[in-house]
Amino acid sequence: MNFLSGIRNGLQEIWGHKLRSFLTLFCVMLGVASLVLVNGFIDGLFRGWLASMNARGGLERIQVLPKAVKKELRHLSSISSGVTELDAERIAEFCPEIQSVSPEIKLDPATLRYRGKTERANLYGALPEVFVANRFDLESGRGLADLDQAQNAQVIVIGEEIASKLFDPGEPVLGKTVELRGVPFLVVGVLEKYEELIGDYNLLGEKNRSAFVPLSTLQTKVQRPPQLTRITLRIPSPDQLAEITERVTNILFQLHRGVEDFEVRTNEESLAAFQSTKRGFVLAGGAVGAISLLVSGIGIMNLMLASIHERVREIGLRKAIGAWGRDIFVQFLVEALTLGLLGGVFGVALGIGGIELLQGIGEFRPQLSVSSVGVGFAFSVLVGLAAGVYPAFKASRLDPIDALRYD
Amino acid sequence: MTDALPLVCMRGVKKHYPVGSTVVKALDDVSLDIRAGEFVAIVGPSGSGKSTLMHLLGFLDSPTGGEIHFDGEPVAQIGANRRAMIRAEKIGFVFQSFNLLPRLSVLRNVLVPVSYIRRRVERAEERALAALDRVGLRDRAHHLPNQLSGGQRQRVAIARSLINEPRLVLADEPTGNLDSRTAESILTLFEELNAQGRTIVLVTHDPNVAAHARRRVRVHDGKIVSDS
Repeated sequence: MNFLSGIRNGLQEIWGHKLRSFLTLFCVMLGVASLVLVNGFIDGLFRGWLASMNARGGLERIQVLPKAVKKELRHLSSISSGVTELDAERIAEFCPEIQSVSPEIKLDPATLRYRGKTERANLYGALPEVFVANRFDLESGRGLADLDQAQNAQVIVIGEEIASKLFDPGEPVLGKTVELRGVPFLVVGVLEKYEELIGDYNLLGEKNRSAFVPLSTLQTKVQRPPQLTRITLRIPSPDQLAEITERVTNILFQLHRGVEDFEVRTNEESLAAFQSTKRGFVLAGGAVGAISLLVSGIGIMNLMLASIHERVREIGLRKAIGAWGRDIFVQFLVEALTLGLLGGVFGVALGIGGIELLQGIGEFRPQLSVSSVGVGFAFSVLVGLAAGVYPAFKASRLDPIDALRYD
Repeated sequence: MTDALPLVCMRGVKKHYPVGSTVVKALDDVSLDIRAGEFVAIVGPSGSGKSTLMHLLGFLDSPTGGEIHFDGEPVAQIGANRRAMIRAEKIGFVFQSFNLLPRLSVLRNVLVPVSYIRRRVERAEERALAALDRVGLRDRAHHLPNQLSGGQRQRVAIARSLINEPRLVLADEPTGNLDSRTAESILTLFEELNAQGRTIVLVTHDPNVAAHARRRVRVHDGKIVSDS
């Protein structure tokens, strides 16, 4: 008996006991579907994180952020001036290997207005380095220039979504004037569109809602905050991360007279946090998978044992007319495998359906990937084989004389 | 008869089972020759040892002592897989309860033994149809067994036993589950097959069934008590 006729034989047996087979297939199907879903969630998590990690500049980015001083040291906080442009200048001076040092102030809320249309933006006052430090590229026009800073020029570079919301399609954007808190700004550049879709949710959507004006213009003409929102540093390679982080911290302690009113944040911490989250997910997913494996396996084994019990005469006949124990073993193993595979096909279909459904709703989107489908199928084959071995072995050991006499 | 070797040659064959501290002698010192082309009935009440004798003739079991030659080869001491191969290639089985596989069509039932021949088989389907033709059921090839009467099912089983052109057809109470008229027609079919040269061994407890054979071997208490 070859493999295909074995599968055909298995399908006939499954069809011959519809209710019983359906219940077993249901177990396998749910097991496989849950596995595909959990795997999809892990993939979605990973891909989303990777995309947002890249959007945030990857491991080559370091951020200096202001931080509240500890309560017991608060009386000392006035001797430090906080995170300022001076910090940025000193960092650039003492760590020349840092590619770009970008002091930034976020204006919040920031609403841009153009001919009666308004649009909220993630608006930053920044130096020309901001684009390199934060991985922005220009679609058209120019970025910010040193001269803009020197002249407190009223120019703005806007993200793709801001441009498409404020302006009509096809309308030229460069050279138009938008208003920010009553101050007119000339649009000199439009940024590229960033897209990393999961379902219809764009992970990088925030980037497209960004807008940048010269830091000096923001400080002199819109508002005058004493402190920076952050300083973004871009280092040449992740290998230097630890060393540069330490040096930057030392420089800042010096400048802040030992007051810890700043924080040097790298993406390494978020990588570590992510990895532990992922480990948790994989473990939880593995536990779900193991339990599903067990339940489906028990279902298949139960069905196979019942089937063999009913078919003792068939086994006896097959052995009497010349089947080897091995032939019977393979026959029943293939039947169990067929059950597993069939459950796998339905389970993968259900899992895909579930993923599609969940992509439309919720914050936490699973991702359909080849690996989750592969894992689902591998699982169903494995469970079919594992659960089939013992019943098939039992069948193969039947003595034809006893089996034929059996009633 | 030619002086060629008999198809089956048993000398001093024993089948003893240990049961607790005693030994049950299911067959004790049996010698029997069956020549090609014979139609032999093995007769005896239940517990006489005729089933054990049939198991040995059909290679379903091995003796605990004595010599058996089949088709010129010594076969008393061969392993389970060799016995399975001989069953597949040289023995055709017909059982009391037909033992057709309910989910397979008549044609595919007849073809089941072909899958256990361990070499390439040519034109199997054609031969299966010919075997069905031989038992008069070619037009039922695509029916399922439960669409047939008892006598028809046994005919399918006979066609199945013929598919591999066996040297010996072994029928164990083939009419036990049939009414007497149907039984008669099945026995007539065996007579016809024998007339065409098939060697047939019929195992039965019923003297009326045994009367169709040309030779009757009577078994009692594990021994052959008459052979005529």
